[in-house]
Amino acid sequence: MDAAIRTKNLTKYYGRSRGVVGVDLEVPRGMVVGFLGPNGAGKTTTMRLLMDLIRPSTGRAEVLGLDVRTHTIEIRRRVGYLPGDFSMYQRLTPREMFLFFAHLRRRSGLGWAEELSDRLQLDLDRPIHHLSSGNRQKVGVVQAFMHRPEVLILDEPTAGLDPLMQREFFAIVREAIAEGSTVFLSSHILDEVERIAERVAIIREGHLVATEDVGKLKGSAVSSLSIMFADPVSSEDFEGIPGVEGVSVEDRLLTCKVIGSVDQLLRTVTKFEVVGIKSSEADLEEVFMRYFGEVSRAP
Amino acid sequence: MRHSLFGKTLGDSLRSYPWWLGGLIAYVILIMMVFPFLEEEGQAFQELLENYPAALLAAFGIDPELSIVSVEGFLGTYVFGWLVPLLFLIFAITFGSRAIAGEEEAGTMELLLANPIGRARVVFLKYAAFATLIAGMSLALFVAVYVGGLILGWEMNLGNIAAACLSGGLLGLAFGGISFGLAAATGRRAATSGITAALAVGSYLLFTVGGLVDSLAVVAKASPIWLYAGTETLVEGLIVNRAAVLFIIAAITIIAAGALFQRRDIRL
Repeated sequence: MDAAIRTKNLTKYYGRSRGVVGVDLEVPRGMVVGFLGPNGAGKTTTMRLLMDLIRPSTGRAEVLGLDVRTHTIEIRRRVGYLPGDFSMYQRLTPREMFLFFAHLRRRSGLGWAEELSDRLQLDLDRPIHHLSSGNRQKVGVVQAFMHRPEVLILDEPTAGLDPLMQREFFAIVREAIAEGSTVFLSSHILDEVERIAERVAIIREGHLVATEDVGKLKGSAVSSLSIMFADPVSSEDFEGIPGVEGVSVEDRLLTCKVIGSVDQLLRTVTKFEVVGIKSSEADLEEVFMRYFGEVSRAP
Repeated sequence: MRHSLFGKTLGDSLRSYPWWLGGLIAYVILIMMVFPFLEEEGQAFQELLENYPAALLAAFGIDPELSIVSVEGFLGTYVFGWLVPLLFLIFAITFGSRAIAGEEEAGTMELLLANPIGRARVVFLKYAAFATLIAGMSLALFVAVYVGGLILGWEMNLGNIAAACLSGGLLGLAFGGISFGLAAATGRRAATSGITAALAVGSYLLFTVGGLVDSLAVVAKASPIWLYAGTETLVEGLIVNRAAVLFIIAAITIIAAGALFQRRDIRL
């Protein structure tokens, strides 16, 4: 009963093509668990199975201790779901849509939706077909949180949100957690999951390959750095620093890859005058290769 | 009410529905205004009709035994013979394929079903909204015929006219049920409207052929158009057992739709 979400050998084939295979997943209550994997790995399939939108080929899933096949409506009452790929009623305004959903939940009025929309700077009265994709995503986020659900299942929740709104979204997630909710969110971006999740479940080619604490994953994350200096530098200055690989220097620009902490590299870099520094997000495939090596390959 | 699924489904039709009603009423009243001119040439026109091939008459639901210048003969020929079934069938096919499969193809079903509402309930509530719109069309049809008749100073059997309007509605409900059932089973809008339309055309053919060839008369009785029996109803009043069969078709198909929608994956 302590798990908010639990799956046992959850398997889904679409005809002959693979959805997910033998997924044993556990999301403890009150925790933010990130669901990480490249596009097409099976994240959406897993989440749609949890919402009983599609039916497993074999295996089973429970949400809040209830079987998703037999207690669908009870589960949906207590869960907030943000689909990864969805459309909205184009002619409605967000306000009308939230009132419609509130009615389906036997509630009246906007409830928390009003405050959430305000925080995400969502115009409640502009018809949805006039909204940008970022604003549509906000509508999706608000409808998932508006009834203060016990469990939130969010498929790529930050897609299309600008950085400021992402920060607000993460603040809302933290509040939900503080109130005792459980959050299970998917992403294909490692940095994003690191920011918010305590634990991460990694899926690849339909198989759940690992469940790790985020801290442990961070140690092996790979980031690409580009550093611009005031004067030309030589690549020899940066060779042999622990965790630094692929050093290449073009006149005043250094590019390299760093595994884990960048501390050692920065100590060396500051001996020179630095003009600019740019870090790009860790490449998920690279993390897989380093962290799991060949083990991560689906059997 | 406005924010319920039933209310929302009704609201979604608000843009097109007034055109259906308006078109229906305008056509019926305008065509009825032709009646006085027809009356003058009544005998000649009747003879002309009698010289038409029987197949053509049957296809348009025209009963050559009935005088074209009688109330029933005229309404049967110009309104209830072909216009009413056609209009109700098209409405049922369009609405039925849109309600479930259209919502699924548009991608809104995913969000709708994130709420605590059962799939069968979604089907039934949407069908209830559809049935309400069909009832509105039957009523509009009755009002149009009644007003047209008043203008013409007809002596009308209002009970029989109401019965014919009801039969049209029941035909719509039956095909709506078929359309909901196919949409619930497949989730595909084009396939749903295509198959339902083919069934409607098949029903027409069956009815027409059955009316022409005596040995096939039994086969025609399998046609929902025969069950609808617009012109006969105008003359005889509601043919209860035929109306009941249409109602049963609607009931069975919609219950099946609820069950079928439960069974499958929602399409993405």
